[in-house]
Amino acid sequence: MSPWFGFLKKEWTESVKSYKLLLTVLIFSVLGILNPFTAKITPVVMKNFMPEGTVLNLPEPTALDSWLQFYKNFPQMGLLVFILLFSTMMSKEIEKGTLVILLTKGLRRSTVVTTKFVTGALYWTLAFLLTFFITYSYTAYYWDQSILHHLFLAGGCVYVFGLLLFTITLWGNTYFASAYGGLLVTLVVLVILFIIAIFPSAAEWNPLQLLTGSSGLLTGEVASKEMGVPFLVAIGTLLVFLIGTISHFNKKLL
Amino acid sequence: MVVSINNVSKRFGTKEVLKNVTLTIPDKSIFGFVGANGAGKTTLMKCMLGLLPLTSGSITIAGEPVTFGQTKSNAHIGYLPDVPEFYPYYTAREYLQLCAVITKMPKSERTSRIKELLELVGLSQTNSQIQAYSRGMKQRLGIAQALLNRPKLLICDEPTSALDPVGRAQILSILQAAKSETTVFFSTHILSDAEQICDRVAMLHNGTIIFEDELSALQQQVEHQFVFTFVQSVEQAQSRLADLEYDMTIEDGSLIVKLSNESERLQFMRELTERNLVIQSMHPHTRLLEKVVLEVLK
Repeated sequence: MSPWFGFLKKEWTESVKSYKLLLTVLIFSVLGILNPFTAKITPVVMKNFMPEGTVLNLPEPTALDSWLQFYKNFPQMGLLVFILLFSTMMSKEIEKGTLVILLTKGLRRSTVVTTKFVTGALYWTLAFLLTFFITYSYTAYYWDQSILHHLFLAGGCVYVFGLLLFTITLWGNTYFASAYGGLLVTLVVLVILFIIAIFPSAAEWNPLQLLTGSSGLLTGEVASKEMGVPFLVAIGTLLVFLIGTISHFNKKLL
Repeated sequence: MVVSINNVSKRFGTKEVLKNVTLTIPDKSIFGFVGANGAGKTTLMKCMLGLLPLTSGSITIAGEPVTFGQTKSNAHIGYLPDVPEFYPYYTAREYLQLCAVITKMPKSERTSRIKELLELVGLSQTNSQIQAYSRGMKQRLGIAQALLNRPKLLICDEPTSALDPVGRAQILSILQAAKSETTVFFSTHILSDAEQICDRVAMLHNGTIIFEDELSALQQQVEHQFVFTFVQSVEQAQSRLADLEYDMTIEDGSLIVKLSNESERLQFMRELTERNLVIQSMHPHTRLLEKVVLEVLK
């Protein structure tokens, strides 16, 4: 086994022993079930809460309602939980000093960053696939999904945006070497992206479009080609932050 | 020489922590690096490991120059930090296996080397996770990981400072045993520890090496002193010996007497008999290094 895979195995063991795997599976499975369930039950709940005698003409829920729940819950609640779970990957090791022994044994600093990135990316993939396919399966059971446009592309957009935010968190966490550093940087980047989004022309390249435009992709209001540039910008920014993390960690005093 | 430190200076902002430090460490020796807390010992060790960049000067280890960040010289070093931190969910064996993978130790060698080291440090019977370890056990595991790749140089930063007497004795005996395989460079502010096992000693004070020598040479620098206790009170003994020209002081209820050679010692014994002083105990003054340090700092 090479040092890279050896350290990746350590990251995996750590995540399992600290219940991250269990939490990810539980939280994102529940989130997956919640999407079609909320869509199905909302009209019933609304009827029950209306004053007696109120005539309410609610359309029957469709697959679109279930997926709109997905694009509301997953990028908000799901992404927040994920970032919180993995926001201290680097600072914890820097603060405790657990890396010092291994680095003096010849472990490459880039190995530390890339294995942590890969571990986070694998967990994000697991979280995404669980929620996506549970939502997909239940929605397919209740409704006809043929009315939806670009279902997988819309999912891919949210997935890439989540990966970008995780990379930014990793950079902030490495740079500030504190638990809140990563979260603060992520928050600041998000605020900047939202400010940029005020200008309509920025939608052509703003990575935030991957998030805000995903429901439009489903309804057909947003064409798939409109996501091309934001997608490339997101990937490019992700790489810049990843290389930046490696470069900063190479110079970090431990 | 396994280590050569040449005119090393290290500055943190305006504070100069190391000032033109020059030091060489001979092969297969135990080199004690003493100094008060904050003297710069850990900083020098981190510079030797490439964990801190030098402001000026150079360091070579086993002929390899040390560079900041990724340094090839670390292949020759085993390092035990002052407070070694491990992954708490691993057992000692699992942690050493991770270290073996990182050092690229051949698979065929791993199991036997890990077994050998766990026996050396007395952890072979322990299968619990590291989170259940005492400070002493962690320190012993720290030595095991540091010796894993048969380093030419073992660097230990204050390995005994927070241990109880039993733990300290265990660590010192492990370091002594390691001398047959490697050169040991260990820092401490507990002078008796250095005195107990070191061949050479250097002292760092305010970022400067204020002395460096073999322990035996240091012993010669200090005039021989003996500690006496008597059946009579120490004051009584001193007054009965007052007419003699011996350098005597009272310390903790004992009489400390400077006796430079064998004939002087015999003469002193005769004087005691003549003055009806009955010896209860007599032993050499063991706090030698402490004395040297105090004299140097004067």
